[in-house]
Amino acid sequence: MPDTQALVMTFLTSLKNATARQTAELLRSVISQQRVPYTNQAGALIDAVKAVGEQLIAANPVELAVGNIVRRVLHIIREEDLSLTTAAIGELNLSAVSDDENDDDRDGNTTLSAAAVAAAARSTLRPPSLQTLLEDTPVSAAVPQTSSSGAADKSSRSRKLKHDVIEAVNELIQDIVTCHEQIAEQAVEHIHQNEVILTLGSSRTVSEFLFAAKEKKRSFRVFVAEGAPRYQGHLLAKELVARGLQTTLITDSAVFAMISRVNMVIVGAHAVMANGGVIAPVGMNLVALAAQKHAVPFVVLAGSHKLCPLYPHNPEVLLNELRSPSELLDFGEFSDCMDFGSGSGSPLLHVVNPAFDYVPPKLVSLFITDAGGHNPSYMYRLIADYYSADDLVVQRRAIAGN
Amino acid sequence: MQYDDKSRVQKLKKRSVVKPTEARNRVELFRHLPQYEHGTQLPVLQSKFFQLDTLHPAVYKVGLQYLSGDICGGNARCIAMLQAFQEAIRDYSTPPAKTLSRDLTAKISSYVSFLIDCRPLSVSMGNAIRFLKSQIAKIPISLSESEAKATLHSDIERFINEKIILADRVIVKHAVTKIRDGDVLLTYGSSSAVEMILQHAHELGKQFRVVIVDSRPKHEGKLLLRRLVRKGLSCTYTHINAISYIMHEVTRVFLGASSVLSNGTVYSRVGTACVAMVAYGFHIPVLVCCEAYKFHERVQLDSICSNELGDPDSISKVPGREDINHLDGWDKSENLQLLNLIYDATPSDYVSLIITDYGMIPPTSVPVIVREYGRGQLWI
Repeated sequence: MPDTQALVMTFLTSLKNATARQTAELLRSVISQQRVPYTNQAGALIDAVKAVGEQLIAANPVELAVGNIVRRVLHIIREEDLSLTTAAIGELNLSAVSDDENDDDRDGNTTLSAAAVAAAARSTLRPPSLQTLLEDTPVSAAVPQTSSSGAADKSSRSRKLKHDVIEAVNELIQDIVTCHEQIAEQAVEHIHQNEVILTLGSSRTVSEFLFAAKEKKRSFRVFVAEGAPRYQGHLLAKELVARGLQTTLITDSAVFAMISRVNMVIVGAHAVMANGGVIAPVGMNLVALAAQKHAVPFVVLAGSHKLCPLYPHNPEVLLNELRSPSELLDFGEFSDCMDFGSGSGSPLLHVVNPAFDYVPPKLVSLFITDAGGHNPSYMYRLIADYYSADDLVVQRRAIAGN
Repeated sequence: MQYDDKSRVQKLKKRSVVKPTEARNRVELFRHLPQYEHGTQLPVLQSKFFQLDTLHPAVYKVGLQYLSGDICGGNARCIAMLQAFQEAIRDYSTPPAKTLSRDLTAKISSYVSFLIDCRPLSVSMGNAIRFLKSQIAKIPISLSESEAKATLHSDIERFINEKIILADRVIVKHAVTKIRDGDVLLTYGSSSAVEMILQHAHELGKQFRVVIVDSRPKHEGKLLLRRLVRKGLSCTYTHINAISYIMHEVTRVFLGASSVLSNGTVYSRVGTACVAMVAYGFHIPVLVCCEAYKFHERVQLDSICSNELGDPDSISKVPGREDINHLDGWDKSENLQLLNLIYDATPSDYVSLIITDYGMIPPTSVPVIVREYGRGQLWI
């Protein structure tokens, strides 16, 4: 598939600005250009998506949204295949009942179908029930082999699978694009009159949230912490002022001083991990600790595409990016301190400039997603809705005997 | 100091030498504090130099240095002010039909209000002024003018020597016992006491690393960084947002203070409270180094009731980053305010130990020191 490879390559080079939407669009074109065989077409699609997904994730592992979308698409493929299978099984059963003379021919097919149904039911898409637990057939990680029941049905089903998957991916893209509005609709439930709100840095979700509350005539003031060293707070302050909101810009060091007068902290997130922890722009842990000390609710706004099924092990190091020191120190000013000639030969001066911060779930009061408001302890449950357990490690399985 | 009371503000403006320009876009929460813009005062004051004959030139010079930010830090400001007063007292002569103590006290008060106009007093300066006034009041009438001036001169000299210079040496001696080999020490901003401690410990040959945390808009940490690297200490530099990241490696936190209040609250550079809070969350001891003359019997719970506001323009611009110019023309929109706090109040629960020239004490013992060694006995 040379076309898709070229697409993937251009995507990888621009991965710095990759968004969830672009990943989904890329995977959609991969799927539509993938030629599926007659048997096990879902497996082929899954392999193709995994191949591309592996490259995408390896290119920038810190950009968790990319991995999330890859896993979402894999889950969509499995789900669509399962619903098609159960629909086909339903048809087969009906035809078996109505046509008694061809019982012998159909027998083998129906038993295979029953095994297929059991295997499919045992997959993690369905919660375990007594029927599946008592089944003896070994659990197959691959999608169940659907029985051959006519070439005509087969080709129509293959086209239908791709079509269904692409439709579902389109829905996913639509969800990603409209997540800001759905979150902003909930703004009126949380902001009342004469409130003081604190935020750090800049997030589009947060600004839409605040604008929606302003539209509904709620009066509130906003303290924006500037979020060094990217200073995105300046941008947010400018936008809020343009909309007529009373805004005060403070430095990050003044957060503890000002938080005693704040009613609520509302921030955006880079990613939400499976335990309810948040990967956010640097400085957020400081705000969360100060909010906890003063009993101020700490609300995180995140679209569901930011929910990651991984558990954060040592997130400060493994899920972090260290940016250039030139944002903190001017090299020209400090070039005389970068003396490599002393003692051990290493410079005396080190500069640390991390890009992200980890906020543990116990500091977060509420998550507001496009699916409503949730406790941090509930986030693991949403993962079952969006992801399959088989996809946590996106790697192509080595085909035995090749 | 009630700047939300209009009549008082009017009276103040009439008396002051430095004409404050009213800040645009005042932050409502801080209406009780003066919000001036210092940057525009300097040329005005420089032109007025020969017209202010009521003011001694040394005091005038110190006032200008405060205004421009050349002298910064509690100890430096206090020493500069006292030395200027020494010169003023040396050149002073009692006018006929007036007693030395009353007239000199009035003169000193006028100098002080000029300095307040340039920049609000720090606690260290306030305590030093109180000491000086009490010494002036104690001068017996029988003493001749030259003897009185000599006494005052030596009193000020003794104050600077005992309360600041020797006190710092005692603090350093106590503090280096708290530094072990292999330590990673974190400090915030630039404190003269902490700098001396680190340099002395390095001279003693202890092996340790220093983490310097810095913040906007003053970037005081850069100066400390340069001086420490020159001396050969191994330093890591970061900004205050990254403190949760760096705190994993740290073993001790050393902080300086502008003042310690009677309820144990540490009043120092804005951001100190954040550093202390994160260190406390990671169970890392926080040691505050503060000379005893900076203690005060005032109490304070938060950082808003009493503070100092700096120049808001230094927040809207980022030196060295021309691309961050979203807030050019910020004063034209009445919805936007910029807040530049100078100090903040760290609650006493975050502080493990205060190292003073009276020894190493917990924050709860500060009112004991203020009371036992308070004015009267303090200046033996």
